[in-house]
This record gives sequence, structure tokens and C-alpha cells, in this order.
Amino acid sequence: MVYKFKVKESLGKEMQKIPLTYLKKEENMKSKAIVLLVAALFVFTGCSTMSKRAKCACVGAAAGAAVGTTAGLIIGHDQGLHRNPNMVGGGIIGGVAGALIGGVTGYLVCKEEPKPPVPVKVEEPKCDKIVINSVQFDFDKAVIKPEFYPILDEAAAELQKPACAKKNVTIEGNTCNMGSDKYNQKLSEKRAAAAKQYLVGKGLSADRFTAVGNGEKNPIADNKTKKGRAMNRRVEFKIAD
Amino acid sequence: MLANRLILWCLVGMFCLPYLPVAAAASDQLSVDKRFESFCREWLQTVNNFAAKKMQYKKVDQGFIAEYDGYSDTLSTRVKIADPAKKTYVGILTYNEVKFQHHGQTPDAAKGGPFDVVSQSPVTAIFMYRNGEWQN
Repeated sequence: MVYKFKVKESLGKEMQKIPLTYLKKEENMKSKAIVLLVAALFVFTGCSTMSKRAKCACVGAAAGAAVGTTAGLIIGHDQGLHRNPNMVGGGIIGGVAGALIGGVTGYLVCKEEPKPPVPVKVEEPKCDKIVINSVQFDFDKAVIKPEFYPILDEAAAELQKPACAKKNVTIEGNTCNMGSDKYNQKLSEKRAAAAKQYLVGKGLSADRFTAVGNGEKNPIADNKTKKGRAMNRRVEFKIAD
Repeated sequence: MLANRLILWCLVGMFCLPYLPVAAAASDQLSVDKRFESFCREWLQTVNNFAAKKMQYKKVDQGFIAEYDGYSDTLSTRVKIADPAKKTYVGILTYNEVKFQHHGQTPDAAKGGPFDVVSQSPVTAIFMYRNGEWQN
């Protein structure tokens, strides 16, 4: 009791000693605290446009500032020290500290939500020409041997890709220069037809394909060598635009 | 002591044995992949050299234009296994067919280059690996 009385008495004396300019300063501090509180509210409402994590930090900071400021003021008032400018300043410090603690806590608690993928305009892959090599036919025959089916299966897969799937295809058979022109022309037509038949058998629409023969007219390598002749015996799929 | 070591090695062997064919297949595939890329480069080189020989000339108002269909140096390759038992693979080569042109006052000047790329179009070529080599 004695102690309390002494405190109050001393406070009373202290307060009597406070000059008028000091009281004005205290009012200024108080209004600063209110301004901080209002600012916190503004920040709070402004947070809605931010990303999730920034929003959490922002809301936390605003709430912390509000709580800190209020707590600072109330504590100062309850203790009867509201005329002490240091205690009003304490409200501001409480607000700033609250904002910091609230902001950091909000930032740590909330995880950044993954950004929605930016829509990228994917350029459709072009599909102009498919060449199948390595398919060997028996002499004077246009029957595809089973060991070469994987090549045609791959060609079928390429032709079913979205870029090609709805386009018309010209299947061109090509031969080397062994034999007469007329013979090679017929042979190339038969080989193109055999490739078409295989693809249709795989479920591709026959309407998409036109089988033609180029004979020996379109070599891609020198017919003088065995390797060159092998390269020239090929089937090409030319995809219409 | 010796018996213990023997048992240990047997156990290690028993553990590793099932993985040997897998490792061998992976090694085969790696070798086939590498060989396919060099095969493709050689194949394109052959085709390009032949294409350059088929150069054509067009007379224009001011001189001549030499042009031929060649192939780009840039390529991409991928290899798929077709039949593991027969060790056959399918190789897919993607490259660009390129139309080259050069203008000159005379056919020889036009032929001399350097050639400009006029147009490009993608080509997919499919090959087969059988009997231990890539087939043309």
C-alpha cells in the first residue's frame, strides 16, 4: 500500500511538472498511433489483390500492427501513464513490433501457391514428309516381309500424330535403276500400293491415301553403287498442306 | 574361412546374375544409338552430295539462279527396340529438307555460291537395324 501510494504521489508530482509543450507532443504521438492503426486497416484492405503468401504477410502485419498499437495504448492507459509520451510512443513501438511479428508469422505460415501456368501458344509441329527406308522387297515382288512391319508401324504412328492425322497423304514408291523404266514404274506403283494396304490394315482411313509410283525417276543417291541403289529403293509419304 | 568366402561370392553372383542380361541389353542399345547417329550423318552427307550434283539453273532478268534441294546439318535421332529377341531396332531421323539458291551473272557464278536458304521443310526418315547394322 505504502509503495502504491508512493508511486501515485510521485506520479502526481511528475505530472504536475509536465510542461504544456510536452502535453502537445503527447497528443501528436497519440494521433500518430491512430494514424498507424488506420494505415494498418488500409493495408489490410489493400492486401486482397496480392499473391497468397504476400497477402498472409500483409494481413499478419496489419493485424499485428493493430493489436500492438491497441495493446500499447491500453497498457499505457490502464497504468495511468497515458500522459507520459514515452508510453504513447510505446503504442507505436508495439504497433511496429506487432506488424513485424505478424508479417513474418504470416509469411512463414502461408505457403506460396503455385502460379498458374502461363498459357503458351504451342506451334503445331509440321508434318511434311515421311520417308521409309530399309524396307526390302523380294525381286519382282511388292509384298512387304513381316520383319519390316516395325518400320511401317512407326510410319503409321507418325501419320496418326495430331499434326498429320487429318491430312491426305500421297504414298510414292521409288526404285533403283536396275531393270527397264517401264518395269520399275510398275514395281514402284505396286510397292506404294502394298504400303497403303498395310496402313489401311492398321486402321488408317484408305480415303486419306493415294498410292503412286515414281519408278526410277527420283533417286536420292548414286545408282552406280550398291549402297546408293539401296537408298533409292524407298517409299515416301508426302503429306498435303 | 575359404568356404565362407565361396558362399559369399556365390550369394553375390546369385544376386547379380539376373541383372546381367538387362545390363547387356542396355549396353547394346547404347551402341546401336551411337551407331545410328553416325549412320544418319553419313546418310545425309551422301544424299546432300548427290543433291548438289542435281543443281538446276534458271535464267532470270539479271543473270542466273542456281538452286538445289539439300538437307540441313541439324538432325535429331531416336531409336526404339522392335524385336528384342532378334535384336532389331527402328531408328527415326528428323531433319530439314532445304531449298538452296544463289544468284549470279553466269551459270558458273551462280553455281559458285554461297547459297541462301530459301525454304525448309521437316522430314522424318525411318530406318531399321537388323543383322547387326543399320540398313539403307
